[in-house]
Amino acid sequence: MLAFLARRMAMLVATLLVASFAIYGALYLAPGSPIAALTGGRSVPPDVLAQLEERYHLNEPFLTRYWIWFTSALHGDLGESIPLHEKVSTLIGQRIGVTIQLVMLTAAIIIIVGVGLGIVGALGRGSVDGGVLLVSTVSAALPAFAAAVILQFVFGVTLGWFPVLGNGDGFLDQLRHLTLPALALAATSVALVTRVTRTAVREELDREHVQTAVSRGLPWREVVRRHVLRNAAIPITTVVGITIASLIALAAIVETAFGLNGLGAYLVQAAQNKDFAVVQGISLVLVFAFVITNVVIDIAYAILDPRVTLGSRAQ
Amino acid sequence: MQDSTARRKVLGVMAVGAVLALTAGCSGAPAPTTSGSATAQTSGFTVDTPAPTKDAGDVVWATYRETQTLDPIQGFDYPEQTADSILCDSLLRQKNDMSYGNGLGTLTQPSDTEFDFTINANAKFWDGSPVTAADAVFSLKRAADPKGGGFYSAVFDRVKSIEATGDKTLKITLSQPDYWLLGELSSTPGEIVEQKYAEAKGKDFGTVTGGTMCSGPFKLDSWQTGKGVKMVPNTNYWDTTLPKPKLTSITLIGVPDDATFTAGVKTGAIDGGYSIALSTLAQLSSDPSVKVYQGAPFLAAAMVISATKGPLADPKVRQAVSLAIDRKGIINTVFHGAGNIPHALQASGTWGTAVDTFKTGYDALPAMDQDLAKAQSLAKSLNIAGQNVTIGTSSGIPALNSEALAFKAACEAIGLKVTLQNVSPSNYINYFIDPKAWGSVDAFATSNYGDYADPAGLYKSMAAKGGSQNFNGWTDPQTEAALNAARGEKDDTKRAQDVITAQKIITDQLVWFPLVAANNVLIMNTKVTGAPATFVYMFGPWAAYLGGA
Repeated sequence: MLAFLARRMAMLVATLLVASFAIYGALYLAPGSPIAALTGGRSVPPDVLAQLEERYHLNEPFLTRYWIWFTSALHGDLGESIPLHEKVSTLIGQRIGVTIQLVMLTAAIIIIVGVGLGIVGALGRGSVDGGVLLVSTVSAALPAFAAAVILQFVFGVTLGWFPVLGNGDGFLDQLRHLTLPALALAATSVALVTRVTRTAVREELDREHVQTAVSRGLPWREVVRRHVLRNAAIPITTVVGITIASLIALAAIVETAFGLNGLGAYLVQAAQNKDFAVVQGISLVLVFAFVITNVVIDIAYAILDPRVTLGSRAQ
Repeated sequence: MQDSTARRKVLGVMAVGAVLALTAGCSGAPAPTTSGSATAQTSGFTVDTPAPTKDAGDVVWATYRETQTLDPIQGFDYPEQTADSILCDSLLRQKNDMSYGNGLGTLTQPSDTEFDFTINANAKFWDGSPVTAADAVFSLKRAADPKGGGFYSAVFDRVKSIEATGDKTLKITLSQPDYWLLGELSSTPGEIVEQKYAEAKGKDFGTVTGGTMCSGPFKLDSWQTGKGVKMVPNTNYWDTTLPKPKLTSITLIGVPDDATFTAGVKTGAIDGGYSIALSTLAQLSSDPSVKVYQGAPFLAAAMVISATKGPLADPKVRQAVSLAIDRKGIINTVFHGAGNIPHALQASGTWGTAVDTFKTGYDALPAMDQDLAKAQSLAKSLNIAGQNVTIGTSSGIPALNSEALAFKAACEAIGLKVTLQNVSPSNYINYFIDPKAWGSVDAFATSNYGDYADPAGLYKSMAAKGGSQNFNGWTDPQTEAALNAARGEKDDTKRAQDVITAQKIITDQLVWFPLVAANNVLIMNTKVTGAPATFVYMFGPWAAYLGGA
C-alpha cells in the first residue's frame, strides 16, 4: 500500500510539472493581452501601455517568465493576479470552498440519484425500468447551461423556492444556494451513471452465481447486496469517478450562471483576461484534484474487489 | 467596447429562449418617461427617478464584471468608475443632469492660465483627517504623472505646475488656457485621495489588500474579490446639500451574464444596475417587479474608421454607406429599442453645458436615416463597385459583431466587397492599441465615451491631430482650429459653438461612423428607487440618491 501511494505521489508531482509548463505555454500562445482587462476596450496613450507592459514583464521571453513563475511557486508564492494585484493563493483560497461544496453536493446527487435510479431500473419491473430510462434520457439531454437557466427561471424566479444567485452565508443557507446549481451540474452525469449502473447490475443479475444464490434460497435482499452490487461496483465506481473528477471544470458554467464565487468561473474569467498566474494556479489545483480522485478510485477498486491488487498491471 | 458582451455567451441566448417560454409574452420597447430638471435634456429622457421614501437595507448593485481596482487613476472602465464615483470626491462635481460645478473644491480664476481651488473647510476623509490642499496636489500630480501607471496623464498636458498655496488652497498653472481640464477635474482624474494613506500603502493602494481612503458620501466597508465591493454611507459626510442615502449598505457585484442579471433583478437578489445592450430588455420592461428607465444617450456606438487608403478612406464613400446602413435594425437587434437615430457622434447626453446651443447645432445636422436609393446613386457616381474593404469584428462579442455585420451589409448594398476579419474577444482590444492591428482593417466597431459631458471630450481623442483614438491620422485645419479654440474658451456658449463647428465637419466627413445614439439604461427592482438615469453614475455621487421605494 505504501509503495503504491509513494509511486502515485511521484506521478502526481511529475504530472503537475508537465501540466504547469503546458498550461503556461498554452496561455502564452493564446490570443489577447492581459492589458485588455485593464483598459475596458478603449485606447490608452502609448506610454501608459509601455508602462503596463513593463510592470507585468509582458515583453520578456516565454522561458524567462515561466522560470520566474516556477521558482516563486517552489517557495509557495504562486504569483499575483494582474488586474487585482492580489496573491493567487489568497484568490484560490477564497473560492475553493464554494467549488468543493458544489462538487460534493453534486457528487452526492450523482451517486444517490444516479446509482439509486440505476439499481431501481435494473431490479424493477418493466414499467419502472421504462420510467427510469425516460428520466435518464431527459436528464442526458440537459447540458449544464440549459439546465441552469431553466432551473433558475422555474424554481428561482417564477416559484421563488430557491435563491437565484450568490453563495449564501452559513451552512444551511449555502446549501439552499447550491441546490439549483448542483442539480444543473448533475443532470447529464446522473443520466450517464444511471445507465451504466443499470447495465452493470443487469449484467450481474444474469450471472450464474446469482442464479445459484437465488436457487439456494438466500433472501433477495442478501443476494442483491452481497452478490449483485458488490460485483457491479467496479464499472459503477469507474463512471462515478470519471464524472466527479471532471466536475470541477464543468462547474464553471453553473458557477457563472448562478453568480457563485467559485474556482471554475474564475478560471474562465482569468483565461479570458490572460491572467497568467491565476490560470496556472487554478489549473494546477484542477490537475491535483483529478489525480487524487483517480488515486481514491484505484484504492476503492482494491477495497471493493479483492481480486484487484493495488498497482497491479495487466499481464 | 463593451467587454461585458464578450461574456454573454450561450447563456444570454438561452435566457431569452427560456424566459420567452416561461413568461407571458413580451411587449416592445418602453416609452421613455419624462421627469427631472429642466436643463441638459431633450424631451423624453429621464434624469432623476422618483426619490426614495424609506430605508432600502442592504442594496446589491450589478456591474458587468467584478471591480478590479479602487485607485482612481487606474479606473478606466465601468465597474471601477461606478465605485470610485461614490467613494471619492472629485475637485469639481458632476450633477445628475451632467452639468458640473464646484465640488470638493471651489474654483476661482485669477487669470486665463490659473485655476485656484479652495478645498471645502468641512471636508474630511473617512478616517477623520481634514482634506488638505496637499492631498489634492498629491492626487492630481499622481494622475498627471506619465510614469505613474495611470490612464489619465494626457489630460494634464497643458499643466505647468500644481502647488498648494495654503492649507486649503491650491493653484494649477497652465501653459495655455484649458477649459477642458475643468471637465476632467469633475471626472475620475479629479478624484482626491488621502496622501498619507496612499503613500503608506504604496503598490497596494487601491487593491483589495490596500483599500483606499477618500472623502466621499460612501466609505469602503469591506472588499473581497468575488464577493463584491461593500460600501456604507459616510455618516460624517461634509456635503450636507447632497441627500443622505436611504440604505444600510451597497455592494457592487460583477454579473457577466444577462440571464443571471435578469433572474437576479426580477427576484430582488440584485437591486439594480446600469446596462448596455441587454438582451432581455424587452422582458424586463414589461415585468411588474422591475422598473426600466432610459436616460439621454452618452455613449458613442460607432465604427472606427482606420482606413488610410481604399474606398473607406474617402468621406463620400462613407456618406454612401451611411445612407445605406440600417440603423433601425441595429437599434432593435443590439439595443432592443433603447436607442435613437443619431445626428452626430455625440448626442444629448453629452450636453452638460450650453444645452440649447448644442441642441441647435445637433438638430441642424440631418438625422442619419436610411435612404438606399440615394446611397446607391451616390455610390454609382464614385465608381467603387467591386472594391475591397476589410472590417474587424469578433463573433464572441455579439453587440459589436451585429454592428459590424450591419456595416458590412451597407457596404455591400453600394457595391463594395467586404471581408470580415474575425478575432477572438480577447484580441479585439488590439485594434485600439496595436498599430499593426488597426492598420490591417478599414473599420471596427466601438462603444466609447468621454470623461465628462461635452462632445469635445470624445472628439478630441479621435478627430484632433495626435489624439489617442485617432487611428487614421485624420486631420482638418478648420476642425483643429475649432477644437483648439474651444479648449481655450471660457464662455460656455462660445465654447459650445466652437465644438459645434468642429462637430459639423467631423460629422460631414464621418471621421468615425456613428451607428446609434444608445440610451442610458437603468434597471431597478421595484423595492429601490432614486438612482439617476444618466451617465453620471460613472463620475458623480449617484448612489447618494438611492434608497427604498
